Amino acid sequence: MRKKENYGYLFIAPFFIVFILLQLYPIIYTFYLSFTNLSSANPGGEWVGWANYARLLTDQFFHKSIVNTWRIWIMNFIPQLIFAVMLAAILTRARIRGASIFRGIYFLPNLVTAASVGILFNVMLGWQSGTINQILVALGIIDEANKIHFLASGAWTSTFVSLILWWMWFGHSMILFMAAMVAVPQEYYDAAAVDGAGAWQSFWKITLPLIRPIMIYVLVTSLIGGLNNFDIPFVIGEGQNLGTGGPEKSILTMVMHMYNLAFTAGRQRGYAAAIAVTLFVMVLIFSLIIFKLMTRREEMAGRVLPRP
Amino acid sequence: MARVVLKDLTKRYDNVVAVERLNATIEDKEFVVLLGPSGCGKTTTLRMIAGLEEITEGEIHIDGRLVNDVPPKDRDIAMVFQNYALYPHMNVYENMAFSLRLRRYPRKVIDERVRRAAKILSIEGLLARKPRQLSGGERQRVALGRAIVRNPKVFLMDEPLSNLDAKLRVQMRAEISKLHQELGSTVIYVTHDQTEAMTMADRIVIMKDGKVQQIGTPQEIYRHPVNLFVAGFIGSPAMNFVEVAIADGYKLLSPHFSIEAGWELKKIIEKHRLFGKKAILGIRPENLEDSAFVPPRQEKVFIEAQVELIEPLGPEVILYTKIGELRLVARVNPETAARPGGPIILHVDRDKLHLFDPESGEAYR
Amino acid sequence: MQEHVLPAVPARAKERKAVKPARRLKPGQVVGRIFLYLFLILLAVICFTPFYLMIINATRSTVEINRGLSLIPGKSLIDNYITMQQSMNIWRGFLNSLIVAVPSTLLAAYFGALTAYAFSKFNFRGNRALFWVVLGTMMIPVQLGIIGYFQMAVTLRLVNTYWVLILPSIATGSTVFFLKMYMDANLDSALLEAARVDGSSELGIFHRIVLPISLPGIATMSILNFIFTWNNYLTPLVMLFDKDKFTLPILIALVKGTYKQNLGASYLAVAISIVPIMIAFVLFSNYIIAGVTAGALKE
Ligand SMILES: Nc1ncnc2c1ncn2[C@@H]1O[C@H](COP(=O)(O)OP(=O)(O)OP(=O)(O)O)[C@@H](O)[C@H]1O
Ligand SMILES: [Mg+2]
Repeated sequence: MRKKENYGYLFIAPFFIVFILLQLYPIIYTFYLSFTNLSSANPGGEWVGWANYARLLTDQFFHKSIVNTWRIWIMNFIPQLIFAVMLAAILTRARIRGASIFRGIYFLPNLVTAASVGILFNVMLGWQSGTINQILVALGIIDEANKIHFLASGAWTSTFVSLILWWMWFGHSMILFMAAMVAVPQEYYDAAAVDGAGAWQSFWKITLPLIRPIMIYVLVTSLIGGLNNFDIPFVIGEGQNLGTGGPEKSILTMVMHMYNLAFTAGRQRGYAAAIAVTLFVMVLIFSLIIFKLMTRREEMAGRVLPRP
Repeated sequence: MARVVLKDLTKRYDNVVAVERLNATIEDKEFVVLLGPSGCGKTTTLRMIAGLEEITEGEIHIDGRLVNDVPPKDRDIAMVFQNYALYPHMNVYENMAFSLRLRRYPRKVIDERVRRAAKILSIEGLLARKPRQLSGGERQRVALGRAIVRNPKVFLMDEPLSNLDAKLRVQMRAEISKLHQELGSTVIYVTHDQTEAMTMADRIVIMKDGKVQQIGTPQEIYRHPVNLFVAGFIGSPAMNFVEVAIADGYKLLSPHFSIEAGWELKKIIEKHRLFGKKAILGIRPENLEDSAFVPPRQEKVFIEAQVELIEPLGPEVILYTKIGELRLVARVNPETAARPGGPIILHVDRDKLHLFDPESGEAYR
Repeated sequence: MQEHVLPAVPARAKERKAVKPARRLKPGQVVGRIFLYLFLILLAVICFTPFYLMIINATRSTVEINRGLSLIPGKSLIDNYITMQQSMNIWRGFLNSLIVAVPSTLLAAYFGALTAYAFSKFNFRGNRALFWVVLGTMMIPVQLGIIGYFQMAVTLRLVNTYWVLILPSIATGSTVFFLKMYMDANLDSALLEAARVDGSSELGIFHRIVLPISLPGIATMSILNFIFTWNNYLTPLVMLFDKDKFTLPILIALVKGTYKQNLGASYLAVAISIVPIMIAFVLFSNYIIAGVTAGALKE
């Protein structure tokens, strides 16, 4: 009945009211703020037009934060993808004993509080008493006198942030790929085997093309998460303060820069908002590019192998 | 008194007309079956009566009250769904008590009614079980029980037996009929199974493409189908149709045979002045008999045919025969000596013939 | 480092077990398989070692930790605990995290299911378009609006309260998406009609039929939502000012400043924040993995 269908609106209303008020409106408001000079000095926040965006062009830290953000993401994502696809293929198709236990262990780091992980590694990466150095000594890779002061080196710090992110996320992506691979009908592999394809060829010719949609999904969500990277670099930097951006500011990410500007001394929220908007645009553009590129590829894949 | 009146009932989806100007009156305590092929609008009609589907046009009256805008729960109806729709998270007792609890009946009354219904349906032993622990037949009973406890004015049932195996279906058919007699309530029952309709219904509403074709008792519909559709739909195997020309002397002429009409048909031919015209002759398979078994006294009206296929069913035998291009199905005595490929002489019971207008498909009557 | 945006589809069938009969392996293949297992085990060690060492070090004194690596527990757990409690009330943080995470999870479950139910079973105009909006909300990370959200909270005098952390859970897109798929697959519309005929109100149908039947799906999503809120860092960091109100991650992040060189206490604090999640994972790993994987398949 018409009256009945109207309950649909009633039932989705709370969701949309909250979404509009607490999620959409804040974003729009952030857009607005990016055109003001809201800060401790100007609590009223006057309209300054594009001034904040002009300032972005000359902000060295901002430029560095963009480079850092991308570097950290790419250096974690590429190995993450390789490990995830490879392990997913091994665990789904190589008849591994205890596959579900491996799956669980690989996935575990993903669930743990990122802030805690950051602190954990911060402690473990310590110089003289850090666990990582102790492991390296125990394994005979370095000697007692040459312990590495990881957190004093921009390169090491950034590398470890990427490594930690890889550690936290390869299991997650792997699980998604496993789900996709399990869904590939066995008949395809049987057909390929009859046609004389080996395991390796099946992987390239069947598995990869068919899990492409999941790859897009993993790529897009990872990119969005990566561009918004914050927790781990924020807590892991050197010294006892949070959010320093590490030695040589090598792990200052965009969101961290925004946070520092908006919520520490000076509280330059108008300017920080401009960073948020830039980030938003970046997320939008790159997601769209990926979707565009990959969907076209996908049609081609669809032609090569018919969908079940 | 629960009389259901449907007036010009119409249901249109975006571009499909599911039910078109349906008129019917279902009397108090009557068992009415909506019968028709798949997609003819039976379910839609029933759901409109239940209030689950919006009415595009027309009116529904239950007990003299216009209920177009009354929500289902206030129509005093109960419905049995094709897949039973038992709540999977409640046990049998809770399933049956659900509607009473919603209506805030006292606990004691609920208990009494549930147990009485369970007794009627002999499912007292199953009350603590969850639906998934029941067999199809048991689920069916619970679904019925859920409707019974309500004591509704009208029961609506949508193909309640279609998920049961053949044997159970026959048994449940009888039980539902018995239940109807005991409870004395109005039942509107949807099916596409004509045996169900014929055995259970007080009256049958035959539908096609959203339109009512004929309303009548099973006998009426069987003996006097109003058009080719009803004639072909009711009866199994279906009625044979033969194009004939009507000649002087009440002769029905086909390229393959010629027979003289029975006296009832003669009156119809006269009434409609059919001499020299074409018509469609309908002969039910049971009105064609192997001539070997026709008592000698009877008039000899024969058709000679070739047997193509024999289907022995036990108490009778179905013969698929042909005469040139014409194919006739006959239901004959099981002792028949007919053999595939062999000849057969079929005797026509000419008092039971039907004539239809070839243009409109309507029966001449 | 993806966001925990988890679109979803009803859980797939169990992993297909390999059905081929075991073949006899050639010697080369045996070596290959040994290496394969070594590799898998090595990775498992890498995944688990940090947690293991964390737990071990939480039981060792700072001096012991400084002296070198150990794989067996020490005896300083109690001492570390006392030190830890002296400068930081970690259980207060625990409680605060619960105060945020439990209501958030419940709200996300209730309103997520309600919204999903409407999208799954009601044919209102704009159903499809609005569902796309829900999908879109899953793609927007909170970071992007955090400044506006903070300013708004200031205006409404809601900063430094838990409301700003809890209320947004009402609009959790991933939960709606997952549960809609779940209900499409598992909730027979005839049940709703039966309840309607039986005399239930529309909201009553949701409470008495839809919620109980969707409970497995709701549980899956709730575990994930709970973990996600429990782990949330940025929003509480921005919104909370009083140390008394800090959630666990905020408190843990302050460990470095708080304990300076007391490593044992630091490890213990981190361990206390992590172990509950590990336990949850051991208990619910199947649910969790089903929820996560169910995710991407629809895309
Ligand atoms: N929601 C809908 N939207 C559009 N068309 C519909 C809808 N529901 C039913 N129809 C159409 O209405 C017609 C009647 O459907 P209905 O379900 O009443 O048939 P039925 O007689 O019950 O058939 P069956 O014996 O197969 O159950 C069909 O052509 C069907 O396709
Ligand atoms: Mg139907």
